[in-house]
Amino acid sequence: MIALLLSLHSAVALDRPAEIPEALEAKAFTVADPEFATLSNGMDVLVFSNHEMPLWEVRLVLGVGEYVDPAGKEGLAALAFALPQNGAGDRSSSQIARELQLLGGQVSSSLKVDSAVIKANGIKRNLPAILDIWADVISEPTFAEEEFEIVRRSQVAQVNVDLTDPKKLSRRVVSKLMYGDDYIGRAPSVGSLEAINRDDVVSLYTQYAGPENAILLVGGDLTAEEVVPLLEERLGSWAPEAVEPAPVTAEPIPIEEEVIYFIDNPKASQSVISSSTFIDENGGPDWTAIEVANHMFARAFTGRVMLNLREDKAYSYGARCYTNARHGVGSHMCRTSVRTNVTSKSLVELRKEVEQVRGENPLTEDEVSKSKEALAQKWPKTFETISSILDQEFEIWRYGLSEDRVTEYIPDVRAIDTAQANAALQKWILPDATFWLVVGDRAKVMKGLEEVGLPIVELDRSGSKINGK
Amino acid sequence: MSWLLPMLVCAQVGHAEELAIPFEQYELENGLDVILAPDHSTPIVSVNVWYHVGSKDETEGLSGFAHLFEHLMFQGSASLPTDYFEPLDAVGASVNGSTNADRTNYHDTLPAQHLPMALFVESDRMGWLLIDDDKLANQKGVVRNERRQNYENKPYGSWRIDLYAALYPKGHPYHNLTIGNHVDLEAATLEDVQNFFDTWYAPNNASLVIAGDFDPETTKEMVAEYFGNIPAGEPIVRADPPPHALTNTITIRQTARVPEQRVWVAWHSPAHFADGDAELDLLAVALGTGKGSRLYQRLVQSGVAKSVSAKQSSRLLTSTFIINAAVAPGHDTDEVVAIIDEIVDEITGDKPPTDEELMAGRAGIERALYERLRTVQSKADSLNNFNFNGGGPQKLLTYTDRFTDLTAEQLVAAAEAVFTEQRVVLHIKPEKDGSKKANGFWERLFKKEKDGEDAT
Repeated sequence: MIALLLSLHSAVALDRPAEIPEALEAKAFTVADPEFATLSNGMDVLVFSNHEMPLWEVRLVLGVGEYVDPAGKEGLAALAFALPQNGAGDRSSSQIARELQLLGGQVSSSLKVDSAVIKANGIKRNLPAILDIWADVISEPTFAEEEFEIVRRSQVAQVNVDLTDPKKLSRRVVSKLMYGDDYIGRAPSVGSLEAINRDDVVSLYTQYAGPENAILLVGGDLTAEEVVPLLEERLGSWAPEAVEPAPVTAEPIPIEEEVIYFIDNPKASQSVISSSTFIDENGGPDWTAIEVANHMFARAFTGRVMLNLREDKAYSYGARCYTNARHGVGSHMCRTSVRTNVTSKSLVELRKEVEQVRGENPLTEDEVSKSKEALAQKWPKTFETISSILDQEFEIWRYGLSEDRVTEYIPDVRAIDTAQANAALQKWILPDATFWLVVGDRAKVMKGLEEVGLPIVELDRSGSKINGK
Repeated sequence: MSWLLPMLVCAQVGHAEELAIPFEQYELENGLDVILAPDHSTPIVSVNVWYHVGSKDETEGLSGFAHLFEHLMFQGSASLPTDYFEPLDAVGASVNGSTNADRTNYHDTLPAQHLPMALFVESDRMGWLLIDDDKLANQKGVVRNERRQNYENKPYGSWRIDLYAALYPKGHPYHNLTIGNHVDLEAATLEDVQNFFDTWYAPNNASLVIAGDFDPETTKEMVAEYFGNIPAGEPIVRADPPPHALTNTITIRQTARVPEQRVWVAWHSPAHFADGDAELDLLAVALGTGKGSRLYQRLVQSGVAKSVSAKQSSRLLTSTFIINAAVAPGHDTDEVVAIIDEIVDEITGDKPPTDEELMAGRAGIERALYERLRTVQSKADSLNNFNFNGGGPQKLLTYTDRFTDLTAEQLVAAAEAVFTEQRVVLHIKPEKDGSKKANGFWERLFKKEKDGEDAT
C-alpha cells in the first residue's frame, strides 16, 4: 500500500501541531422555562419566547394517531387530519392557500402512528391573521366532498409509489412482520382507502379533535402576554365533545426462529436489507441504556456496523440502526441498501456484528464512553430552534416523560455504565430469534441467500406469504 | 379565478423586517476568505468551508469526480491519518459535506468549546490530505452505492440525470449530473486525486465561515495558526462554457417500473443572481407553489394530475426552470403538457402575473430566508452562499429587496425570454406487464448519446 501525501508543499507539514488542540472552557447550557396558560375550554398552553428571527410556530397536538384506524379502513385518520386545511369556515381550499401565501404563513397537519398535529407558522407581523385561518381549520373544517376526493386520490397514488420503492416497501412490510394485524402492522392500501367515505372522515375528526385530548405548544418571536389572548379569542370556546381514544395496545408477534423473508424486486441494482425488534418504550427504564448501546454499535458514523459495511467493505452507502419512540412500545430497526452482488455477504456481516456484540466482543468501556459523550454533547443543539424545542416538549407530553428532561438527560446518559449498556443490548437489540427482510432481485441473490443457512420465506409486496414457499 | 381577499389581509402584508446578523470578513495572506458571525444564543458553533469547485469543473471522462473527492476528504489527513470522523463523533459533532454542480461544502457543528478541534481538522485536510489506493477504491465503491441507492433503485430516480443530459450538450459543464457515471467513477486514479487537490483545494479557492458562540479575537488567532501556513495555489483559470442553446423541443419518452405517469418540462433560464433570476423565482410561485397556484388549480383541482410543482433551479453559469407533474389515473402526460403550455402562454399573453401573486411570492421568499437563518449551521452556509454566488455576505441582509420592486411587466419579459420552444420534455410511463424494456442505466447511457428530437 503506497500512501500518497497530498500536500502542496510537503515540507510545511512539519509546521503542523501534531495533535488536536485542547478544548476551550465548556459553556453553560440553559433553556428558558416556558410560560403556562390555560384557555377557558381547559386546553393547556406552553409558550417559549425566542426573538432571534421574526418567526413563530403554534402546534395543536392531539393524542390520536393512525392507531385509531378501524381494520379495513387504514388511512382514515390520515385523511381526516389532511382535510381540514382544504376548506374551513367560509374559505375554500384555494382561498386558504392564497391568503396564507400572502401572509407568509403556513398551516399544515401531520399524522403519525400515535400523534396528530395541526400547525401554523409564519412571519411575526402577520401572527393574528394567520392564527385566524389556523383556528378556522381546527374548529370549522368543511370536509368538502371534492377535496376529500383530491386528497384520497393523492393518498392512493402514494401507496402505489410506496409499493414500488424498495425502501418504503421494506418499511411497510417490516411493521407487518412485527405486529401483524395490530395497529402498527397495518398500512393503508388502495382497497382500504377506497373503502373510506366522507362520513367516516367527519365522524373520526369529530370524535377525537377536541380540547380534552390536546395541548397547544407555542414558540417564537412573541410573548405569552401577546399570544395567549389571541389564542383565547380564537379557540377558547372551541369545545366539541371529543374523547380521548383508548390507549394504544400492540403486542409484537413472537418470533420462533431466525428467518429471512424475501420480496422479489426484479432488475434491482441494490438489495434493501432490514431487521427490527421491539424495544422498551420511550421513557421506559431501559430506554437510555438502549440509546447508549446502539450509538457506537450501529448509529454513529464511526459505529461498528457503518465501519464494516461502508468504510471497510464498500458494500453500501450507509448502514445504521435506529431507535424509534412510540406510545406504549418502541422499536429498533436496522437498514441498509447494498450492491446486488454482495447481498448475502452483507447479511452475513450484519449477523456477524450482532453475534459478536452479543457474544464474545461486547461493547468496550471506550465505546460506551464515546456513546455517552456524543449523546450528552449533542444535547444543547437539540434546543437551538423553536421547532426543535417544541419537538422536545411534544415528546414530554406525548410519552409522559419527566418535565425536567432538559436538565436530567445529560446526567442520565452519563450515569449508564458499560455493564448496563451491554445488558440493555442483550435484552433488547436483535436477539437470536429475529428476522431479516431482503427486497432484491431474486434471480441474482437467491442462490447466495440460500447458502446463509437460514429458512427463507418468500413474500409478495403486501407482505403476505407466497403459497408453497 | 380572481383573488378576492379582504382588505384587512392586504393591508397587513407589510414590508420585510430589518435583519441584524453581525459578521466581519477578512482574508488571510494565502487568500483564504474568512467570515466570522458570532451568535451566542446556544453554546454551539458551526465551521463551514466552501471550495469553489463542483461537478462543472470536472474533466472529460471523470464525471462524478468532484463528489468522489468530497468523500475522500473524510478519509484522513496528516494529523488524523485513518479517519476524519472519529474525534468529531466523540464530542457529538454533526459532520457532513455536499457537492453540487458549482461548489463543494463541508460543515462541522459542535459544542462551542470544541471550536479549536473543528478548525484544526478542517485545516489539516485543506493542507495535508492523506489518500492511498485502498481508500480511493473503498470510496469509489461507496459512491457507486450512493448512485444505486438514490438514482437507480428508486422509482423515477433517474429523471434528473436524463433531463440535464438532454438540456446541456456533451462537453457542457452541466451535461453530467454531480453523481457521475459508474465507468468514470471506476476510472479515477490517485494521480487524478493529486491533480484535483492541487488545482482546486487551495486556500485561495476556499472560504471559511464560523457562526455561533465564539470569541472573534481568539478565533482569529486560531484561524491564523491552523490555516495561515497552507500555501496558496496557482490562480484558477476557467474556460468559458460552450454554448448550450437548443434548436427545438427535445421530447424523451421512457418506460420504467413506476406506478404512474410523470412528466417534466424544462427550459434554460438566467443564472443565479443574474438579471431575470429573481423574476423566475416569483414566477415559480405564481405558477406552481401551493394550492392557490395556477398549475394546481388547472391540473390538480380539475383532476388531471395528482400533484404539480414549478421551480427555478438556479446555478452559477445558467439555470433551469422545471415544471413537474404526476398524472392522475385516466389521464396522460401529453394532456398535462398541453395544459402546462396553455398556462405558460397566458403569462406572456392575456393573463400576466397579478399584484397578489407577486406579493405572495415575496412573502414566501421572506419567510424562507428567515428559516435559513435559524440554525448556526444553515446561517454559516447561507453566508458562504452569498459570498460565493450573491455578491458578498452583506447581500444576505438585503436579499428580499431583489423581489420588492419587481413588476408584472418584468416578470412577463423574463417569461418571454425563457418559455420558448427550446425546451426538454421528459415523459416517464409505467412499463406494460411483460415488457422487456429494461430502461436501466446502461440503456440510458447509450441512448443519451443520440441527443436530438424525439430521442426515445
